[in-house]
Amino acid sequence: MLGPVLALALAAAPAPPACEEDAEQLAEAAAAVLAASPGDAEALGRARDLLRRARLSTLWPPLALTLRAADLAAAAGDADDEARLLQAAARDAPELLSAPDRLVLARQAEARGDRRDAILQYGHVLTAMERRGRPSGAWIGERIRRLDAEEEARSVAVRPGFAPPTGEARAAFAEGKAFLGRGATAGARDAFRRALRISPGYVEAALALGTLEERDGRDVEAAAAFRTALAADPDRFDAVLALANLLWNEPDRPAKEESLGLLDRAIALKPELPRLVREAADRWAAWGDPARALERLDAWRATATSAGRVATDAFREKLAASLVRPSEKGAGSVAVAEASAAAPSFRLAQVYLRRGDASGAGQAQHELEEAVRLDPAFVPAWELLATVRSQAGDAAGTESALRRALDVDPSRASAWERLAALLEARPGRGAEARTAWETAEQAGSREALYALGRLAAADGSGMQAVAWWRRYLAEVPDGLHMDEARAAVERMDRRFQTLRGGGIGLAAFGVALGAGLVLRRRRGLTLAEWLRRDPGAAREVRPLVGRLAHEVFKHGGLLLGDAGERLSSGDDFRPSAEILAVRLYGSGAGPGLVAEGRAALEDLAALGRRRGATLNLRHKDPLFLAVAAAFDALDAAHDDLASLAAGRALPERRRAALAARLVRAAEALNPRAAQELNRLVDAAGSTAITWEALAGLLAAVAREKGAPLPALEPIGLFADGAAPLRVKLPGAECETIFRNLFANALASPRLALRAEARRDPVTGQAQGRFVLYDADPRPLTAEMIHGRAAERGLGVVADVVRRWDGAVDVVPGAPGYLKGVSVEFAVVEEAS
Amino acid sequence: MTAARVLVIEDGREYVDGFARLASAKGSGAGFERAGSLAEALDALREGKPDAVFLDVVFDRTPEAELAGDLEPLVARYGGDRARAVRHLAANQGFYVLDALADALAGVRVVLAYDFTGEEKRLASLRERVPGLSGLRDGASLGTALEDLLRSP
Repeated sequence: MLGPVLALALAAAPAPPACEEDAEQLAEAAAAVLAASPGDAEALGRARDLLRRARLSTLWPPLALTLRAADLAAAAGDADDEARLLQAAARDAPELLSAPDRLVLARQAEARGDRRDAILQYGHVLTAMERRGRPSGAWIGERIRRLDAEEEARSVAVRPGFAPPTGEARAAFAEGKAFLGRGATAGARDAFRRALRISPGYVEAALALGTLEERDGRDVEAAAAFRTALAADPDRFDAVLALANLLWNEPDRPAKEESLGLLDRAIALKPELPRLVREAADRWAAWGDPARALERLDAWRATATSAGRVATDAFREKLAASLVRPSEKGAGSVAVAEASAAAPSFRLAQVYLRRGDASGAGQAQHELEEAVRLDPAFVPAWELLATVRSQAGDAAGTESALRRALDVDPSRASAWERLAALLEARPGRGAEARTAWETAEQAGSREALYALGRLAAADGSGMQAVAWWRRYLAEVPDGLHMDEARAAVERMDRRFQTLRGGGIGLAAFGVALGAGLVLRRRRGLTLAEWLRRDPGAAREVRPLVGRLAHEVFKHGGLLLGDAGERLSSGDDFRPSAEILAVRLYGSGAGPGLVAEGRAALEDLAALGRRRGATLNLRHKDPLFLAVAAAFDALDAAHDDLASLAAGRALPERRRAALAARLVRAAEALNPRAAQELNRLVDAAGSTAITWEALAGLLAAVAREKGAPLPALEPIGLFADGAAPLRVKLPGAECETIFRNLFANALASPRLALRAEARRDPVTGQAQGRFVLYDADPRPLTAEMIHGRAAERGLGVVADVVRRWDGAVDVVPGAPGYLKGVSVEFAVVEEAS
Repeated sequence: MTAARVLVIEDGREYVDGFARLASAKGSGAGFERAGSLAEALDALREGKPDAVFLDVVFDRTPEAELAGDLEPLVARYGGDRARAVRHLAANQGFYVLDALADALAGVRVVLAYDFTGEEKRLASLRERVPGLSGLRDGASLGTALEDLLRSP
C-alpha cells in the first residue's frame, strides 16, 4: 500500500531540479502508479511523466527505462514519443529492439520523410521475418523498393529541370546589382524578376530578390522569392535561414511551425554556428515545446563558455520544470502568442507601402508606430519601421528601430546587416559597424563575409581580407559581390606577389624582376604535387581531366593536327579557317574550345581552392604551361583566322606567323597530354591491393575491437598468388572500405577473401572484384547496406563505393560460407 | 582510295564535318552520313551496310531517352542512383552503341574515338565481338583518322 501512496505523493510534488532526482526511485514510482490504477488514462499520464523525469535526471538513461517509456507512450497512443524513445534505444542497443519496434520506427521514419532510415528499419523487419520463414515479408520488400524509388525520385528532382542561368539571365542579374548599387530598388526588382523569368532556377537572382523584398517590408513577395531559391537548391543555407526568420515573424502558427523546421535545417547545414542552436532553443520554448527547446539548449551548452552556461541555468531550469508540468505547457514566459496584437496595423502598413502613393509612407509609419506600441516584441514591425524611416532620411530613427528589432530577436542576420551598413555610413562609428558585421556573420549572414573582407582590406590586413573573400566565394559562388570579391582576391594575390618581388627588388631592380618571375613559377602547387598531398581529390579531378581530354586535347588535336602544315602549303585554307574559327572561338551553339579549355583549367584551380590548395597551373605546372601558352597563341590567331574565314588574303609574313601559332597550339593541345594527365590522376588515385596488406588490416581491426582474429582463407587471385590488382581508388579510401567490411564480419569464426579480375561486358573496362565471405548467420541484403547511415559501418562502404564509381552487393556464400559482400572498382590495366 | 560510304556516329558534328571537308579536299569521293544516336544508326544501317563506321565515345549532349543501354541494371549496380547510371551511359555511349551494333557491323571497319594504348587487352576483348574495331591513336589528326577509315581492308 505504501508504494502507491509514495508514488502519488512523488507525482504530485513540485518538481525539484532535475539533477537532484533519483532515476531508480522515479521509475519505481511510475510502476507503482500504474499498478495502483491499471488501465486508468490519468495514471498512465502520471507514470509517463515520472519516467520522463527519471530519464532527465541522468545523462545516460538506462536502456530499460527508455524502453519502458516507449511502451507507455505506445499505450497512450503517442506514436511520436514512442518512436523518439525507440530511436534512442536503437542507438544504445540495436539488438534489443524487436521486429514490431522496428516496424514502428520504420513507419515513423516514413512519416517524417526519412526514407533511408525507413529502408534500414524495414530491412531489419524483413530479415526477422525471413529468419522465421514468414512469407508475408514480401510486402516489406515491395515497400523497400518503393521507398528506394521515391528517394531516387527525390534526388532527381533536386534541381527539377533547372538549366544553369543563361547569359541573358546573368546580364539581367548584373543589371539588378547595378541598380542596387545606385539604390534604385524598383529597377533592381524588375531586373531580378526578369532574370528569374529567363532562368527560373537562378538561385542568386531569387535570393537577391527575396532580400530586396524583405528589406522593403514585402514579406509575402520575399517569402515567395526565397521559396523559389529553395526549389532550385533545397540546401541553400542563406535561403533556408532567411525564410525561417521571415516566417517566424509571421503571426500565424503554421508559419511559425514551418519556420522551426527550417531553422533546424539551417542548423544541420551549418552546425558550426552555435548561435543558431541557441536561437532554436528560444524559439522552440516560445512555440511551447520545452522538450525540444531543452534538447537544443543542452546541445548549445555543451559547447558554450562557462559564463554562457551560468547565464542559461535559469532558462534550463524553467524548461525542465515545464517538462514535468505538462498541463502548464505554454504557460508563463514561454507562452506562444497565437497572433500579435500588432498584426492588423502591420498588415495595413504593408498595404500603404505597396500602393506607393504620396501619402503612403506617412500612413505606413503611423500604422507601424501603432503596431510597435501594441506589441513591442513584434520584430517585423520594427524592421519595416526602419525601412520607412530610412526612406525618409531619418538615420537615427532607422538605427533605433533596428536596434529595437535586434533586442527582441538578435538572430536576425538581415537586420544586423542593415544596422552595420547604416553605421558604416555614419562618421566615427566604424568600430560599431565592424562589430555589427561580425555579429551578422555569426548569425549566418553571407553578405557579412564580403563586408568584413572589405573592412579588413581598408585596415591594411590584406591576408585577412583575402581569407574573408575566399570564404565568400566558396560559400556564395555566384553571389551579389562575386565579381568584386574575385577581382579583389586576384588583385590582392598580385599585390602579394609584387610585394614579395619588391622586397627583393630593394637590392636591385633586375634581381627583383627575376625573383618575381621565380616566385611566380614557384608559388602554389602543380597538379601532381597537389594530388600527392591530397590523393582524395583525384575523384573530383577525374571528370575535369576527362573534360579537358575529350573536348580540348582530343578535339583540339584533331582540329589543329595538320592545320599549320596545310596553311603553309599555300592551298586554299578558307574552308579550314571557317571550321577552325567556329570550333576554336565558338558560335551561337557553344563557347568554343579555347573558352572551354580555360574554363576547365579555372574549374581545376577552383576545386583546389575549395580543398585548401593554391594551384599554379599556368606558371609552374609542366603539364599546363604549354596548354596555357597554346590558348594565348590561339587568342593571338583569332583575327587572322577570322580574316581567312571571311575570304580575305593575308600577307605572307602574317600567314607564316599564323601557321607557326597553329603548330605551337597543336603541339600542346595533343591527346598525348591527355594521356599524361590521366596517368597522373590514375597514379594518385589508385592502389595495389595485396593479400598481405588485407590480412594485416584484418588483424589490426580485430585487435582494435578486442575481438578474436577469425581465420582468413584466400580465394581466386589471392589463392593463385597473382599480381595484385591496382584499383582506381586512393589508399586511404581502400583502407576505409576493408576496415569497415572486416569490422562488420568479426562475429564470424572464419572468413574468406576473393579477388578476381573481370571485364565489363559492354565497355571492356578492366575491373577488380573483391568478395569478403563470412559464416555469420545474420542475414544481410544490398538494400540494407545502401539504407545504412553513411557515417556507420557498411553505410561507410556504400558511401565510398558510390563516390568512387564502384559497386557493392551481397552475394551467395562460397562453399563453407553463408554469404559474401562484394565490392567492385575499375582497375588500371597494365600495358601488355 | 575508292568511293566509300562512311557512317559517323557522334552527338555533335565535329567529326562528320571535318571528314567531309578533308575528303573533299583530297578528292576521295567518299560519302559521309551522320547518326546522332543508336536509333539513327540503325536506320542508316537498314539502308545498307557502310564501308566504315566512325564512332565517338562520349555522348553528353544526347537526351537521356535516346541513350543506348539498359538503364535499370545500372541503377541497381549503383545502389539506386539513377543520375549516376545516366552519367555512366553518356560517358560510355560509344561502347554501348558498339555493343548494340556488333552483329550488324560484321565485316565493317570500325574506328572508335578512344585511345586503347595501355589497354590492349580491352581492345582485344572488344574485338572478339567486333573484329573490325580499332581505336583512334593518340596524336592522330583528322586526316589520319580519315585514312584509317578509308584504308583498304
